[in-house]
Amino acid sequence: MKKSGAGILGVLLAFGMLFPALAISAETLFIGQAIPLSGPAASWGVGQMRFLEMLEEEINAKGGLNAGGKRYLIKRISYDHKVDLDTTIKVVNKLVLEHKVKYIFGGAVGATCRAAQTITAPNGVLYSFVCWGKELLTKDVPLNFRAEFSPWEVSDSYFRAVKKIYPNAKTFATISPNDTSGWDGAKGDIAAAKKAGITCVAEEYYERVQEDFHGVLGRILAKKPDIIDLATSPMGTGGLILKQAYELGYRGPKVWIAGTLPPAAIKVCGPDAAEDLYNALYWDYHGKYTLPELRALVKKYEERYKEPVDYTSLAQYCFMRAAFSAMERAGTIDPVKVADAIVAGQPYNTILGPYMFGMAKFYGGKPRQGLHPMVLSVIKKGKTINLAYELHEELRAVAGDWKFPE
Amino acid sequence: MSGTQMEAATFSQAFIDGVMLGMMYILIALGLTLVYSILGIVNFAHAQFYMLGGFLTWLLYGELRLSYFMTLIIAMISIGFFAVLVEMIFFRPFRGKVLEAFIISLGLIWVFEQSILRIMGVWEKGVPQAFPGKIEILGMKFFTERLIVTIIGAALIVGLHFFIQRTRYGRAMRAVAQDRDCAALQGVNINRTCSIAFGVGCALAAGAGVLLGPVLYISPYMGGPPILKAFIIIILGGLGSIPGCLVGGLFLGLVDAIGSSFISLQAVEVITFAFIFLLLLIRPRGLMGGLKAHE
Repeated sequence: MKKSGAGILGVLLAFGMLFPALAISAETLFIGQAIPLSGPAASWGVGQMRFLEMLEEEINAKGGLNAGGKRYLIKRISYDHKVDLDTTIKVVNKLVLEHKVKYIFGGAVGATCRAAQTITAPNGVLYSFVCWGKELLTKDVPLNFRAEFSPWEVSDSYFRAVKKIYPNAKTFATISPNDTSGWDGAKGDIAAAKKAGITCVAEEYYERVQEDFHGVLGRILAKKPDIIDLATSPMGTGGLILKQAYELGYRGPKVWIAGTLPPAAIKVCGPDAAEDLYNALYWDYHGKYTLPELRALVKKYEERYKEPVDYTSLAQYCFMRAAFSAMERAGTIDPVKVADAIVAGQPYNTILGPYMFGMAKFYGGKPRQGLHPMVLSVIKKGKTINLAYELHEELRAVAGDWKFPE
Repeated sequence: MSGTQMEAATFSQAFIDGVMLGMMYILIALGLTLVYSILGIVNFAHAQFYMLGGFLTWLLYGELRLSYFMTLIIAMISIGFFAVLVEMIFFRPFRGKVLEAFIISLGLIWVFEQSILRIMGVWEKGVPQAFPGKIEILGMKFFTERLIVTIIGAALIVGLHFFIQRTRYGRAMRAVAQDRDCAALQGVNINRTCSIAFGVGCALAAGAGVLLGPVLYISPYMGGPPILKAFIIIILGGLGSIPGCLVGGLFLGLVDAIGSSFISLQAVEVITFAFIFLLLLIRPRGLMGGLKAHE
């Protein structure tokens, strides 16, 4: 007994010598995720999970986070909310009440975020998501951050830029899912298009279980729109809409505010159907208007997971980095203090360029909307070409005349 | 083209779209109703065989460039045999036990979806068109692919009818559906008949997956919407009724396609459910009742 006790002590000492950082008693910081990991929206959740996994490994390999002299090892708990409100409530309750998480870094699809907020807000949980909906960032949810752009930040620039390329475009038709995200995206696009002098001639909403779009596209195309807008359609469905619009003879430009990974849609529709598709939330991550850090991260991700990266998870990655650095700067893991430290430490130099949280006046709460340079791109012969970039006025006020390196 | 001509062209295309969708829903619903009639279970994982058919199309026709018809044959046969194995391992112990089989089928949905997700990744896949272009019939242009898919779908349904009505195994299936004990006393091998019924039903679903692969897209979750439609068809047509399936499937496909061509998509949903609601109020057993064996 005595002998085995000495043996264990020896092993522990050797372990401590090998891993000195871990030898300091490290606590565990649980980071929750309530994201879609199954169903058509899974692609938006899986990327967020993988990036948290990569950060978890990176931080823990360095011995954890150092906040106020204490070491914290990161432990990820990712749950699939299946884009179902009941399941969202169940898994967020489990995260908050059972695992006692104070941070949820991951959420997608507007209605599920709203459901999650009913639990995270009263329990003081810091929650970051990539869901759309103006009501998701009010003064009632001061610990909530939207990591990515929503239509309200980019639609105006997006439609202005497209109108510049197609000065004769007068009309457009929008087709979007029939839910919070879908309506919010389409309405944002309609308002932005109107400002750019483009009138909406058809506004269609489909259930996410819709399989065939021939009928509705036939009706839309009969109104002869100059541009077709896919609004917040997910990648597979968007690809199918592009494919069927092409079959029905449409050859004009397309816009897609939620087109966060058009190459995935091109796999469904083929390059011809995606010709002249303009993107505000996707660009060639290896082309111009990108930073070497982004190119390196994307390469690492693609080599590891053998799948392309979408924009939403890159934005969430930027947020998570900002949040972890804020914990270290604030010297605490208290969510209220960390939320303040996140804003106090901005702008952040990230893989996407300068990154900050703003739009407090617009959303009527604290500055919680992620802002970074928006890169406009277009699909030509199946390839993505980066056309231009623009800084949101609030970001320009902070980052000055920041430019992508030539 | 005048307004009336345009409307006629839109209507005729919508009609073909509706019949095509209806045929696919029927292929899935027929398998489901066949399994229910003979095994006495409701297999919620039935559309996973449709999904497997879609992925085999992507692999064999899309990637390995096998001929479309060869893909259809290979997919139906291989998935049919695979389904027989699934029946023997997972469903045979729970034959006639609706609740237990229901739980098993829910588990199988998860297993199939997650397995394909791990192997194929999260992103959807497209399959090149098998029959591109349009053909002109009586002065109206139709999409060749949709027309051919409709014809193949109809041929499969007719084939199933002949299989059930004219073959030894078909007769055995009908006997088991009517009275399992009596059929056993007459020398029908119940286990084999159930396995064949399950295999044939799933092969039809796989066939629908192959046919719709180039028309729509392939994803691990593509089984969700059609299984919902298949259940609506079964309720509409009457549980266990094959003619009911045909009528229900065509009705749903046509309402979907014609409705979305002339009115809004949301209105189509409302009309469909309102019709089913009223029908069930008037005829709770659906349009064509059902087989008596498991009522």
